Amino acid sequence: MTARVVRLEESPHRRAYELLPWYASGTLEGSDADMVAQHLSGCAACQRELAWLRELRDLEEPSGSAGSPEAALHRLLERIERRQAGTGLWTRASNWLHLPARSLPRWAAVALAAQVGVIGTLTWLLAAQQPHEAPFRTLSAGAVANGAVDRLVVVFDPGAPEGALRRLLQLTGAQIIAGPMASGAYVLAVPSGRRDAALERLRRDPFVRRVEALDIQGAPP
Amino acid sequence: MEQTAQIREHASPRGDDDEVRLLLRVAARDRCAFEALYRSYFPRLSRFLARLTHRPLEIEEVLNDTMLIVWDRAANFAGRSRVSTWIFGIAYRRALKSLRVLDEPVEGEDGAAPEGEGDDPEGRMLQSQLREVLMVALDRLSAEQRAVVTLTFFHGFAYPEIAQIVGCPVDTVKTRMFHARRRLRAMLCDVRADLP
Repeated sequence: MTARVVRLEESPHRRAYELLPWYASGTLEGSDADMVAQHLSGCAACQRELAWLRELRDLEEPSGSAGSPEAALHRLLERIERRQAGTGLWTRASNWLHLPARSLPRWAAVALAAQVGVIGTLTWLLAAQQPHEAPFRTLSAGAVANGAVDRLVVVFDPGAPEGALRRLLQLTGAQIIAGPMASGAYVLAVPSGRRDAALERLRRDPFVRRVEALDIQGAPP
Repeated sequence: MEQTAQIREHASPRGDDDEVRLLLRVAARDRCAFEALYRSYFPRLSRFLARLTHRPLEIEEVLNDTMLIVWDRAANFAGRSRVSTWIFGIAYRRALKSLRVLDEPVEGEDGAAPEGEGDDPEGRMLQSQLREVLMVALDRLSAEQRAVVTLTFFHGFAYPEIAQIVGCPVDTVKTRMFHARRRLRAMLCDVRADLP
């Protein structure tokens, strides 16, 4: 007589037992949920376990809050602002000059300011002596430089032909100013006053998967 | 047997589609969208982090570190998971890093749950006492086990999503849950036996 070894990790009971927490939480789907439901109809042990897991689920989570979201959000936004303000060389130098007296003697701050002034003047004089050259401008610089634009974020169909996208941009007056991102999204600039028409046209287009208007404040894309 | 429908906490109040739209706008530096996303995630993340970090003062710091990463890397979200899965994954890793910086044990120590005081024989106090004991018992699990239990029962994530959040295979998630259940049941049964 030969013995048949049943590996527990492969038994229907073990498979169902392992998935009971997600059955109890209502997140089990498809064949997993069907398998567990079928097993439960004939397994008293799993029925008891499910009842206990539902008790666990129904015990409320403690409030455990970090306090007001607004206060915490305000602190985070300040942190973002400080970080952005600190990236500019002139801003960093300006912040340094305004340090409290105990950190920098007044005479040193005045001397430093004077040095910066001299360097700035020399730089200006040097630049004024350079032959005039036409500034380099990107294709998108016109509308963006005027500042009279609205911005949209768009995800195009990956299979969209280039000609179709080009026609769409021409129709809407939009220009690509950033992207593609990992999600395949691009940021478009459209002249102010044409945003709603552009949104409507883009939403109707079969090669546009998603389009959202942006409410940009402050930081550039 | 009827599968109880439960509101998937992580999918509310906004659906995933709404969150994808918000995140797209965040990626394009829309600060209003970022603030809306922050307010939407604040309650969920603070509850999750409270369970992981134990220290109220650390919750806001880890939460804000998480959302700062969301602000910085929104453009890197490729849509291969739900937005909630992505954000909770960031929060989980930041929380574990915080625990390691504080030299707090990430692996829990074995120990019995405290005995219930049993000074109130009223049955209506039982639920409250069990809840309290459950929270203490959860705290005695390892951070990894605690995360799996919390994400399952209090945040409504499916096990494949939890695997993405914590960065491990689905079988590891099931194993952690298996051991966590066994320990919780043992601790809760000990306490329940002492209650009138």
